[in-house]
Amino acid sequence: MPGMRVPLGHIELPGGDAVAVSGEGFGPLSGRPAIVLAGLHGDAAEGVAAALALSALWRRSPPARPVLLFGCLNPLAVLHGSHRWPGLDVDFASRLPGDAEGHPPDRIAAALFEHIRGAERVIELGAPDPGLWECVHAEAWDDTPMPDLPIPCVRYAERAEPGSPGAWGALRLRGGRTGRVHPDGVNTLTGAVLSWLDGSGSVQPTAAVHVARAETAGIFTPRNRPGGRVEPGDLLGELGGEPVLSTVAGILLALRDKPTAHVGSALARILGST
Amino acid sequence: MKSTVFELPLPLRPPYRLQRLTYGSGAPQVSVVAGIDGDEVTAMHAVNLVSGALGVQRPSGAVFLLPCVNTPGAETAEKTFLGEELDAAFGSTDDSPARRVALAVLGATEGELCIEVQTGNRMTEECAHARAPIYGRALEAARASGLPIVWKRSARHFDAGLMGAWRAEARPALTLRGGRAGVLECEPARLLAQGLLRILESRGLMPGGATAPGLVLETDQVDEYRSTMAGFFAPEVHAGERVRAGAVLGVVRTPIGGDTVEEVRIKRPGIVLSARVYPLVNARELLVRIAVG
Repeated sequence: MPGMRVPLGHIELPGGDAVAVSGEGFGPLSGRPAIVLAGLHGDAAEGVAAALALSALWRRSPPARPVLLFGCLNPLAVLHGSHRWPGLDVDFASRLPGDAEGHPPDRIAAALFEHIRGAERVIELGAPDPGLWECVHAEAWDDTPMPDLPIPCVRYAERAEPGSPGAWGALRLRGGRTGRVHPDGVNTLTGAVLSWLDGSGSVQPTAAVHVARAETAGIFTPRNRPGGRVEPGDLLGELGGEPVLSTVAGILLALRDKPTAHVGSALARILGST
Repeated sequence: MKSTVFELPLPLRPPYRLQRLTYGSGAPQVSVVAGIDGDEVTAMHAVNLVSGALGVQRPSGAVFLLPCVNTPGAETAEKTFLGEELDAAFGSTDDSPARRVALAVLGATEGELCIEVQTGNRMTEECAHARAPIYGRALEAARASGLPIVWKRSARHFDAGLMGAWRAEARPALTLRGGRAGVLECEPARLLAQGLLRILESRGLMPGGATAPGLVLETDQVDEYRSTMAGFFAPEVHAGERVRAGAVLGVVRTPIGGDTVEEVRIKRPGIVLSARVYPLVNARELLVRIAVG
């Protein structure tokens, strides 16, 4: 059985067609729902794929609590594989809380925000940083509760960027490569959402995230894989033929896979050991 | 009559539809295509202006109009069709989405004359003009357009893209061009529409005399002026302007400070066919084309 359709609006196209943007409701009809957001950016491919997997799962076996799944919030960007809303060239995530009288992304954002405001908890399946290959990990900002999850978890002391789902108390799961889908990443994301749904939150601090940055400009070749542990002295990659070594111990959250690096470009992100 | 001649399912949105407008019936038949590149909105507007005229005056024959082939590109102001260059797909042999659209365009364009309406690229403003091979029915049609310039070119310049595909099927074909990509320019669109209507008049499809002929310069001599150094090009002429020998076409300056790097002067008089309007240029980039005469 399909989930209950939750319309957010239509994007009217110049040629006369329209694209409906909607979500699905699963589980009991009463109570404040948990909300899963995916496809705010068109390059968050693994999140969209994970949302499809969750939809299929919950159609067969509805969750015990009410869940609203918005699996493809920016369909035109997903179609084009672009980070931003095509045509208007705006970041849809930054349009929250939206404007019911504004441009199409503002209107969709306003309709979405009505649901976010009434939610019990919200999670976003976000896009990895362009140019980085990331292991699936969770991010929380400020005092947003985060349950125990079977993936690396990062808490930032500062508030999330204004307007983003994180600024309204959402957790974010992210991983993979922009615009690419790998079954391992989809499975990990799906499993993490199910754990998040069942878990109870806490506000435990996590270790700091260390960012290794390029000290010279050149071509970077990754020589490691995100998701594993690294120790000081472990090889992360090579920049212009010279080795780039980890200076901290921890979990390798992300590793650059875009070859060109400028002075200051992020080469790796490592979640330090607690 | 508007009809959908081809559909291509797309994910997350309604299918792509190639739509064709048909006016009249019988012979002769002429096909007009615009919007192969999604950002050529001036060309699309020109064909829609012709559509408006044909809606009032039924042609003595059939006219097939495809005003906007690349609707997905047009919606997002992009040249490509979902990331693929549609014009290149006419020459490919694969089974890609763009190739399927290209084949549909070929199938939807009938008749003894085929016309593609184009614009300049995003960097360059073009005077409304016709381009045709150096002899044959396509050149006759180009002359009949009455556009300010008819540029006769050797056949190899028409071997690629939609023009190449038409010519491979032995169909006389020409291009009308004007304006630039990414912006709607109403005056070039109006001139292009007038040129199209004059061609239809010349083929007996429309009553004559509805549109006054333009001043035609027919030439196979087009001089190209390029920057010898990189810099910031400030043109001193505009597309369609007649210029005399020795006139300054523009000045290449340093982007920071604006010091003169190079003064570009015309060698042979003529009409400005195209002028670079986006100023930052690399060395050897095209600045101005002059149709000599």
